[in-house]
This record gives sequence, C-alpha cells and structure tokens, in this order.
Amino acid sequence: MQYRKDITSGALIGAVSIIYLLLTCKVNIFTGPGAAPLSARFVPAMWGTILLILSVLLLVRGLRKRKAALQKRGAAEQSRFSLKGFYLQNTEVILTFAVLAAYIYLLKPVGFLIMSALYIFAEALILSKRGKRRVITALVLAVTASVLIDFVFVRLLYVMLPKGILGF
Amino acid sequence: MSADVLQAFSNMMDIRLILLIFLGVAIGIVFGSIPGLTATMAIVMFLPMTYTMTPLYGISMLVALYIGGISGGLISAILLNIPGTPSSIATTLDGAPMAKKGEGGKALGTGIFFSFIGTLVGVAVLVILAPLLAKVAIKFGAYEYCALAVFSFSLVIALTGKDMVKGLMSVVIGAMFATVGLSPMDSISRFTFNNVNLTAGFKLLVFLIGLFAITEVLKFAEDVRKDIRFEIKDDVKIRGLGFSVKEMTGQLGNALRSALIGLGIGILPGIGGSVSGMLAYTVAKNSSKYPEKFGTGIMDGVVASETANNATIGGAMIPLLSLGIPGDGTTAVLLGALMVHNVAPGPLIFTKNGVTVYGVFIAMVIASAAMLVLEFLGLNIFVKILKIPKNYLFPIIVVLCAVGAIGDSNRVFDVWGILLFGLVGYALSKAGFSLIPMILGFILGPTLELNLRKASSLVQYDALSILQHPIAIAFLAVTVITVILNIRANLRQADSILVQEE
Repeated sequence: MQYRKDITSGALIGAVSIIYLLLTCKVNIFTGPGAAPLSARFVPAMWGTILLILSVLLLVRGLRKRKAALQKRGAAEQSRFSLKGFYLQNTEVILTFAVLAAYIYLLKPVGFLIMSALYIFAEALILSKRGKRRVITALVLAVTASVLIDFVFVRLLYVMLPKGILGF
Repeated sequence: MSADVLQAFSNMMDIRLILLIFLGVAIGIVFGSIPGLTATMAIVMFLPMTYTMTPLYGISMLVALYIGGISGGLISAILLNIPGTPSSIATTLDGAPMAKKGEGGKALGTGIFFSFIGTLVGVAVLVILAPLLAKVAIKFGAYEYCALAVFSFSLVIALTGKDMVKGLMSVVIGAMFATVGLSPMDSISRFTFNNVNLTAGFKLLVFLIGLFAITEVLKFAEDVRKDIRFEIKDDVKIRGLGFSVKEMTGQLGNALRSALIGLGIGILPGIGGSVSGMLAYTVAKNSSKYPEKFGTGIMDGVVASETANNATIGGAMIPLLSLGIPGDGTTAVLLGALMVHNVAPGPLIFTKNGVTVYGVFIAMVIASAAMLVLEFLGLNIFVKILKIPKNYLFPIIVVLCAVGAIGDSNRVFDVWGILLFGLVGYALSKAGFSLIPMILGFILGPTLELNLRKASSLVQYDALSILQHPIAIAFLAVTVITVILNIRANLRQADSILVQEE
C-alpha cells in the first residue's frame, strides 16, 4: 500500500510546512541601512512555499493511487490503525528510541560512564533476537565497553564527557 | 606551492602517521564490509578521536577510513551477496555469482586490485584538478555561488529520477533545518524559540550523525524480528593476485573508463559511490562484446564497479576541497571534520593550508597501498569480523556517536539533536524519501541564501551586472536545461505527478 505512505507523508509534511510558514512571519526584518532587498524572511518563505506545494502534489498523487487501487480491488482493504498494533509491530524501534531518549536525558545528571553502561546493556538486549538473549554477555560487554570508551576519550583524548554522580 | 609539497612530504615521513593510516584503513575495511555499517558511519564515529590530533593526523586518518570503507564493501558483496556499503551494490551483480561458481578468490583479488587502481586514478586527478579549480573558484562571487547552489539542487532532480517530488522535498527539508539559528548576512534569529542552544543552529556533524548512524540503528531494530541469516564461506584463499596478467591487461580499458565515470560522478555534488558503481557497470555491459555474460559471474562486472566507486573518492574530494561543496554523503562528513580542525575548505585552502592538503593527498596514496596490502593479507581476519553479532555492535556505535556529538562543542544539547535527526531520518526513509538530497539541502541552503541575498543587492545597484559573470550564466543555463529535460522525461511516463513506480 504504497499510496498510504504518500498520503500520510504528504499530509504531515504539508502541515509542517504550514507551521513553518506561520513561524516565518514572526521573523523580524532588518530595514536599516545596508539591508538587502531580500529580507531574512524571503528564503525561509521560499522553502516553506515550495515544500507546501510539493506536499500537496504528493498528497494528490497518493489519493489518486488510492482511488485507482480501490477500483481495481473492489473491496477496500481497510486495516484499522490501532496504537497497540503499531506498538506491537514496531516494538524494537520504539523501545530503542525510548531507551535512547532516557540515556540522553539522564546523561548529565547521572554521568557518562554509568549511563553508557546501562544503555549498552539495555539496547543490546532489545536488539537481540528472541531466543538469543544472553544477559550476562550483554552486561559484561556493556561495562567493559563503557569503561574503555570513557578511558580512551576522557583520559587519553581529553574530551569532556559529563561526570555525573561518580564525580570522575 | 612546491615548497608546501616538499614540506608535506617531510611531514609524512612519520612512522606514527603511517601506522595511523594503516589502522584507519583496517578499521574502514571492517566498517565497509559489515552490511549495515558504512564508511560514513566510521568517519562519524572516529571523528571525536581526532579532535585532539593535529589536522594532518586527524584528516589523514579519516581519509584512510573513507578509502578502507568504500573498498571494504566488496568483501561482503562477493561473499554474501549483500553490499557492505551502498557503493558496492553493483559488485554483487557479478561478484557473488563468481563466488558461487568457486571463483571467489578471483573475484576478491580483482575487486581489491582494481579498487586500488581506481583510488589512485582518483587521487591523481584530484591532485591535478583541485588546485586548478581553486584558482578558478577564487574569482567566484555571489552570482557564481548562487548559480552553483541552484545547479547542485537541480542535479538532485536529475538523479532522483524515479521520484522527483520526494527528492525535492528532501532537499527543501534539509534547507529548512539549516535556517534555524541566525540568518546569514543580518544575523536575525529565526526559529530559535528563544532557546540559547538553538541560536547557532544545528551543527552539520549532529545532523549527519543523527541522519546516518542513528537511522541505521533504528532500521536494524526494525529488522530484529525478521530472521535474517547469512552464511559466510570461511575458506576463501587468494593465490597471488587471483587473476592472470593477461586478464588484467584485458581489463585495463574497462578500468580506465570506469575510473573516469567514477571521477565524473564524484565531482558532481551530492551524488556518490552507489551511482558511479551502477553506472560504470551498465556502461561496461552495454559496450562489451559479450553483454549476455554480465550477471553470470565475469571479471568485467567487478572491475567496472569497484574501479568506479573508488575513483569517486578522489572525485568527491575535488569540489570538497576547492569549493567547500561535498561530492557525496561521506565527503559531507569530511567537510565537518575539516571545519573542526580549522581547515576551511574553499578556494583559499591551498594558500592557507597547503601543507596539510598536500599531506592529505600523500596520505590518500599511502592509504590506497595500505588497503591493497591489508585486504590481500588479512582477508580471513576480515571475514571473521563479519561474524560479530550486530546487536552488541550497534549500541556501542550509538555511544560513540553520542561522544562525537558532545565532543565537538561540549554541549549535551547536541545529543538531543542526533536523536531528533535520527527520528526524522528514519521516518522519512521509511516513507520512501532518500536522505542524500537532504544533506545537500542542509549544506547548500545557507550558501544559496547568503549569495542570493548578496546578489539581490548587486542587482539593486546595477540590474545588468550579472551579464559580466559568464560562469554564473553558464551554470544557470545548464540548470535550466537539465531541469527541463528531466521534467519532460518524467512527464512522458504514464500516470502520476512526476512519477513513482510501485
């Protein structure tokens, strides 16, 4: 059902471009001496308009295809969109995203070393195939990798990573 | 200039640097050969390690990663029929059949050797053309850059042949992300929602890390539930080079032609190795005396694809160094890397950082040699590495990416940026959008805006001044022609608005 992708993306991106255009109007224009004829609003407005036009094209294309496909098959294959179904189908992706967000959010307070170990552990398990969840391997790997990365980057290369609770 | 070259040579006579290049190539090959990891990811991940190195060391290592990465793709392309990097897609067409026929060693030897040739040709042309182009580019003003940016965008239209609408949307979305922050010219804050962190806009590196690395991780997460298995033959051995001298001389014409195609594609901004590989393969097939044999497992296919995709490396560096416009996605990351090391790509790069640049050229030659040596000697090791489970590899990659994002300007805010772009990249690629045009939009958007506004000032004072800028007019003319030809070609296809095949 390719047309669904077109319709959804066309609609969403179209909405985004409208919001963008509205925000563009709030940009202050500089009209003093030396101002160029094209203001700071011009180019964003240009992008916004182009994107809007393109998303409408995409939407129309999607709708046309839907019409053609429905005519061919007769009965509509209307599978309902359910939140639970969406979650079940994309569990790993959603979990990865959630774990990553948690990682970033807690990075500064808790510190790089601990959070990285936690994250690698969690993510390695999420990404493992069903029957193959080796918890101990993941744990050992997570801790080793974190310590190693911390050592190489903070001690050897002097990159400043958040210290957090541990204080070093 | 020659003083710079001599200085560069003496800088390179540094055993630590040479070892670093070998290390870079080795890691690059590993990344290139594992499907799902790309050369770009390698550069993105190792960039933070180079922050405290000198520009020469840092950039040499990254270039070594690039060269290793692009060529590493052939290993899995031939042995697994899965391209390790997008550049090696065409290599699977003949390489994998050869492996199935038992000629795996020959395919690998061919691929490795001709990758080497391709890289060298690319570097040779790079060394000659880049300074020349820089000399021309110094005279570029607002009109020229504006026209160049418009031309680059039009190339997107030419290349996203199948789906122009989505390709263009991708470019514009990229450009829109780039408008966040202070406007060029008058520094008015736009779309910053009064957040201090957004005042400087999104950083290129954050954008790229999110778009490439995080998107890949999310895509992998998606595939976890699918039972995808691959088997690798452990026992591949290459005798000598794998092929005879006579076969090699027979392929030289093919190789040269493919290298030139690769170079040409590399020079064009925004298009990269995957296109050059496929294009060279198609051309080789069409101009060969036995086209029907292509796809059954003959040397010619592998030669064409691998020579081209490696020549693209040198080609892509040409606009990167002399104009500051990346030739493909990977060079876009190199652009970020160069900026981190305070080497500003553009026409003045040879005058201001000549020693470093010539050093990088030499590093590229050393890296090519390293690739040849490492791949022939270490093949079995790379094959073993291919077997490391990715569910452990990817989380570590993400952490390294976070380090990369933070390390550049020591803000944790940037890590949110990679999450944002990862999400955007994943969502858009699921919806069928290609991400490379977005990178072009992000990088060239500000250039276009700045020069468009400057040009508008010029026009205000002297409406006909553009006529004094033939180069700009030439670019614009080519743009218009390309766009018209492509739209016509697209409209001829039945149905749809600006096409898409089901």
